[in-house]
Amino acid sequence: MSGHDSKYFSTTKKGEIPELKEELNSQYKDKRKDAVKKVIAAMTVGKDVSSLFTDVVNCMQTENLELKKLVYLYLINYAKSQPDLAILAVNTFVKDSQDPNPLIRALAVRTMGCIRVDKITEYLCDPLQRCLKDDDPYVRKTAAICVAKLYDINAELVEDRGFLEALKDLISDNNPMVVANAVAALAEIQDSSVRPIFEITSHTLSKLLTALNECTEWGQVFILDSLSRYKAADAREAENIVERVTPRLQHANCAVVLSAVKIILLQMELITSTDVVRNLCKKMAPPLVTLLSAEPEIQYVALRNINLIVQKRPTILAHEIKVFFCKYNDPIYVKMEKLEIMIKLASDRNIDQVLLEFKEYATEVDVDFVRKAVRAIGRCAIKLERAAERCISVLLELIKIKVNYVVQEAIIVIKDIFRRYPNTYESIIATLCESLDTLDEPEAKASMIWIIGEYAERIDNADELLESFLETFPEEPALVQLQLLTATVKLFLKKPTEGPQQMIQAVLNNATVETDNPDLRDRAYIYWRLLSTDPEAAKDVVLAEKPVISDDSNQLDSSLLDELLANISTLSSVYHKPPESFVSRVKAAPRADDEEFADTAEGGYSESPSQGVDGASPSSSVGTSSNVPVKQPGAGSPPAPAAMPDLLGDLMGMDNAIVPVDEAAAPSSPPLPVLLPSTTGQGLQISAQLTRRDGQIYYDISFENGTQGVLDGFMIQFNKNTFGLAAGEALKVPPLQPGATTRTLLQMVPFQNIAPGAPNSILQVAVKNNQQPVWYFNDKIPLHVFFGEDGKMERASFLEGWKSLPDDHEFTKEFPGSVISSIDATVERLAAANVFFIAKRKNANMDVLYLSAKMPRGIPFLIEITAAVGVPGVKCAVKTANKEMVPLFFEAMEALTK
Amino acid sequence: MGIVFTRLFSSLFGNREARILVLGLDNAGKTTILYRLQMGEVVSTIPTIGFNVETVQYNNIKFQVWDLGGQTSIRPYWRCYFPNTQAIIYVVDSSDTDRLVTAKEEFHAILEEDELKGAVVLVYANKQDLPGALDDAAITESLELHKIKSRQWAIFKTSAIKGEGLFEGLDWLSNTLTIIAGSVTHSNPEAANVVAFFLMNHCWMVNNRAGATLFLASQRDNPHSLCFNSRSFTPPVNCL
Repeated sequence: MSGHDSKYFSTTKKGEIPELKEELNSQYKDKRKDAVKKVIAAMTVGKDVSSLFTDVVNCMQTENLELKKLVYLYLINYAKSQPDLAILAVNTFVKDSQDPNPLIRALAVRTMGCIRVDKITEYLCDPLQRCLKDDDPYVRKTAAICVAKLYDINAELVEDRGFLEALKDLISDNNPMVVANAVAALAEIQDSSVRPIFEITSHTLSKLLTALNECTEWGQVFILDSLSRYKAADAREAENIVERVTPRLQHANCAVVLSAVKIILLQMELITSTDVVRNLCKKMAPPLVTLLSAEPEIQYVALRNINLIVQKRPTILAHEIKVFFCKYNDPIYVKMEKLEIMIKLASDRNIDQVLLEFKEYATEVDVDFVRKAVRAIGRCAIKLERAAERCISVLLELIKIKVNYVVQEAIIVIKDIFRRYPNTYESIIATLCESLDTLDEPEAKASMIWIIGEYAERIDNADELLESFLETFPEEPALVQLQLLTATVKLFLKKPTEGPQQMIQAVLNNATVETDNPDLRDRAYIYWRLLSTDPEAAKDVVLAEKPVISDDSNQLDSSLLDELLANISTLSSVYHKPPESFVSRVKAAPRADDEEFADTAEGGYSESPSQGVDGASPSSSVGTSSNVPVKQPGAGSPPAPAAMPDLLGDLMGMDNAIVPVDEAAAPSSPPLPVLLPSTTGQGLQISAQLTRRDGQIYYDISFENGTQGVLDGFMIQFNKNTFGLAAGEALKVPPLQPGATTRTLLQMVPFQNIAPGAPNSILQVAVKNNQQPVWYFNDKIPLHVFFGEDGKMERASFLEGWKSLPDDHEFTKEFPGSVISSIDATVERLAAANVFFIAKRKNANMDVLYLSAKMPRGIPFLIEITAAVGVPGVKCAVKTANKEMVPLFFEAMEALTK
Repeated sequence: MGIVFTRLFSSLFGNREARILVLGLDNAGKTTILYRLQMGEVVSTIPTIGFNVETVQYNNIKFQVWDLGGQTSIRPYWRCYFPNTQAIIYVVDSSDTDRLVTAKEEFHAILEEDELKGAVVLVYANKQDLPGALDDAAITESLELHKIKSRQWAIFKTSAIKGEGLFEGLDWLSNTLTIIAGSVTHSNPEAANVVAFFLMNHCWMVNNRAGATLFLASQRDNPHSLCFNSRSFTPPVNCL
C-alpha cells in the first residue's frame, strides 16, 4: 500500500448525467435539443434521469414544438418524483395555454392533466377554465378530457371551480368531437362518483343523438355508451331513440355496432309493439353475424356478447345457427363459445343438423373440444324432450367408439338424462356397464356409481359392480366416496340381503372411522343413524322421488343477465361478471378518514361492553364481529364466525375470560408516570410509558376519567420521531365512566414515520376523545425498549467487536446518582431490559461488568460498567458504531441502573 | 490610444451572450421588466409560478434573461439557476417599504452563494412612478448595498410601466460585462489595468448621461474590488 492510491478516487471522467447536464445548459439550441433527446432515450430504457429535472425544465420555453413535446414527455414521467421542482414548470404551462397555436394550447393543457402532483393542480385550473372556452374545438375537447383527469386527482377542486357545469355546457357544443369528449369525460367522472353528476335529460338526449351522426367512431361509442344509461320515458321515446341509433348497426367498427345493439336491446324492454320488436330483432341479426367474420379475437368478444343476447332474446339469431357451426381452423376458444351458443339456439327444428355437427366434433382430436361436444349432446337431450331419443342414440354410437374420454363424458351426461327423464331410457344401462373398467375419472366414476345405486333393482349384479369399486374406497376422491356411500345404502335398502349388508358395514366403518373428510363422515353417520333407528324411514328418505332437473348450466341469473346486457361491449360482458367484481375503483372520497375512524371506533366499542354485561345476544355480537374486522383490522375481538348461536356463546365466554386476566395483570405492574395531569386535561388524566414485552414494543397507557360525563371514542396519534414509532393498532379503550380508570397496552411499531435530524428521545403524543379537545403531551422514548432479545453476545465476539472498533467510538459517562447495591440484582435487572451480562472482573475495589445490547437494524452496543458496590457513582463506557445513539443510550442506562 | 481601444473592443464587444437572472420579491415587477426590455411594451402579467426566459439583444450582447418567480414558495428554487450566471438584476419594489427588510435579506442571501461569486449585480429601484416610492439612495441604504465588497454593482431608478431607467441599467450591465470578460480573457495585467481604468471612467459617463446615480465600489474600501485582476492595481499613468 502506498500513499498514492487516492488517485483512484478522483477521475476526470464525469459520467453521463453531468455530461447531459452540461449539454442541456448549452447556449446552442441544437445542442440542447439533442441533449433532451438523449435524456428521453435514457428515460425510455429505464435509466433514472430525474436528477436533470431543472435542466430539462429550463429547456421548456422554446419555439421548437418538437423540443417542447419532449420536455413535456419528460415532465409527465418525472414530475411525480420531483413534486417540489415541478412547480417551476407551471408558468410555462400557463404561457403555453395562451399560445397562438391551438396545438400548443391543447398540448399544454393535456400535459398538465397528466402531471398528478397536488401542488400544481391548483395552478392548472385557470388555464383549464380558459381552454374550456377556447375558440378552437381541438383545445376544447382536450380540456374536456383534462377535467376528467383533474377529477381523478382532486374531485373537490373540480366541483368548486364549476368545471362540471362547464363540461355540461360542452354537450351543447356545436362541434361533435367536443360533444363526444365531454360525454366521455362526464361518464368517466360519473363512474368514480357516488353522486349523480351526469344525467341525460330529454334535452341533452336530442343533442347527443344529433352529434352521434357526425362524430368519429370512438366518439360514437362514448355517446352510445352514455345513451345506454338513459331511461326513456315511454315507448314512443324509446322507439325514437332506437330509430336514431339503428343506422349505427351498419358501422364498420365493431364497438359501435355492439354499443348500438346494447342501446336497442335496452330500449326494446320499453317498446310494447310486437311488430316493432320483431322488426328490430330482424335488423340486429345481420350486424351480429357480420361480427363473426372478423379476426378470431373479435369473434370471441362478439360470441361472448352474443351468448348474453341469445339468453335474453333467442329470436334474434334463431335462424342463424349455421354461422355458429365450428370451422376446422377456428381457435379452440372460439369453438368452445360457438358450442355454447349452438346449445342455446338448438330447437326441435334444427336439432338434427346440430346433432350431426356435434357428432362430427366428437370425433375431432382436441380432447377438450370433444368432451364439450359430448356434453353438448347431453344438454340438448335435456333441453329438447322430443329430441332426447335422437341424442341418446348419438351418445350410444359414440360410446361404441370406445374412446376412453368420450365414454366417460357420455356417462356423465347420461346420468343427467336419467334424472331428466326417469324410467325412460334405462335400457341402455347394460351398454354403459360394459365400459365400467375404462372409467378412471372421478366425475365419470361417480356418475356411474350413482346410476348403479339408483337402478340397483334393475341391475342384477349391482352388488358385484359396487363391490369392485369398494375395494379401492379409501383411495378414491371424496366425490366418488360420497357416491359410493350413497349407492351402497341404496343398494342395501333395495336388496337387503347378506352381501349388501356386509358391504354397508364395511363402507360405514370406512367412512366414519378411517376418513378425515367431515362431509363423508357426517353423511355416513346420518345413514348409520337412519338405518339403525328406522329402516323404513331410511327408505323414504334415501329413495325419495327426485325432482326433475333442467339444464341450467351456463344459464345466468336474470338480474345478472340484465346487468351484463347493460354492459355489452365492455370487459364485463366478456367475463360475464358484473364490473364491480373485477374493477376496484378507489372512490375519491374527501379526506374524512379520521372522522370516519372515530365513528367506527365509537360504534364498535360502545357495543362490546354491553355484550359482556347482558350476556351476548347473538345478533349484537354478529354485528360487532362483522363490524370490527372490516373497518378496524387487528382491533380487538377476533372475528367470530357468524354461524351457530351456541358456538358464538362459547366464543363470547372466551372473550370474557380473557378480559379479566388482562385487567388483573394490569394493577400489579408499577404505576405509570403521569403525562397529562387532570388539571391540564380538564379532568382526564393520562399516564403512559413505553415498555417492551415478548419482543414487542407497547405503549402502556392508562386513562383516568375525572370528569362528570362518560368519555369515549379515544384515539391516539404519535408525531414523527427519531425511531419512527407509531401505533401498530387502534387504541382499545372502552367508554370510560366518570371516576373509572382503564389501562391498556397499545402495540407500537418502529420505523414507520421517522423524523429526520439528530436523534432525540422525544415522543409527542396526541390523544382525543369525542367529548374533549385534542390533548398533546410529550413522553420520553427510553432507548432500551428497542434492545432486542437477541442482544446477547459471546465473549469472543464481544472482545473482537471491542477491538475492531476504533477508540473514537468509545464514550464514557458517569452516573453520579446511580448506586449498585448488588451485582446480581443489577445484572438481573439489566437482563430484563435486554442488556445482557457477558463477563465481570475486579479492578481494585471496583467491579467491572461487561454487557451487550442490540438495537433492531442497528449495531450492537458493547458496554462496560465500572462501579463499587454500595458506593454512589457508576461509570459507564460504551463502544458502538452507532455514535448518534450514544446520548440516548446513556439516558437509558442511567434509568436502568438507578 | 484610440486604436488600442478599438482593437480591444472589436475582440471583446463582438456578438456575445450573457446569462442574466432577474430576481426579487414577488410583485416587484420582474416579469414586466423582462417584457418591457424584450418587446418594449407593457404586458399584463400574473404571478410567475416558475420562470420566464427571453433573449434580449442589446449593445451587441445577447442577454439570455431568466425571470424567476418571486413568491416565497419558489424562492428556494432560485439556486437551480445560479450556475453560469454572469449577472443578476435585482428588482425592488421601491414603494413596498414594509418588505424592504425581506428584500434585503433575500438579496444578501443571494450574494453569499458560491455559484454567484463572479456575477455582477444590477439593482433596479422599480416602481418609481408610484407615489411614496423611495429613491435610489434610500434603497441603497435599505439594501445595505455598501456592504458589498468584492463585486461590481450599480443601482438605477426605474419605472417598468413608463420604461424609465431600464436601458440605462442595461447599458451599464453590457459595458461591465464586456470589460470583465475582456480582462478575464486577457491574462496580460497591463491590459486588465487599462480595462479597469476605462471602466471607472466609462461608468461615470454612463451614470452622468443617464442621470442615475452609480455607486462603484472604490478601491480604498476593499483591495479586492474591481476584482477582474487579482494583481496589484497600478494606475496606468501613461494612459492619462
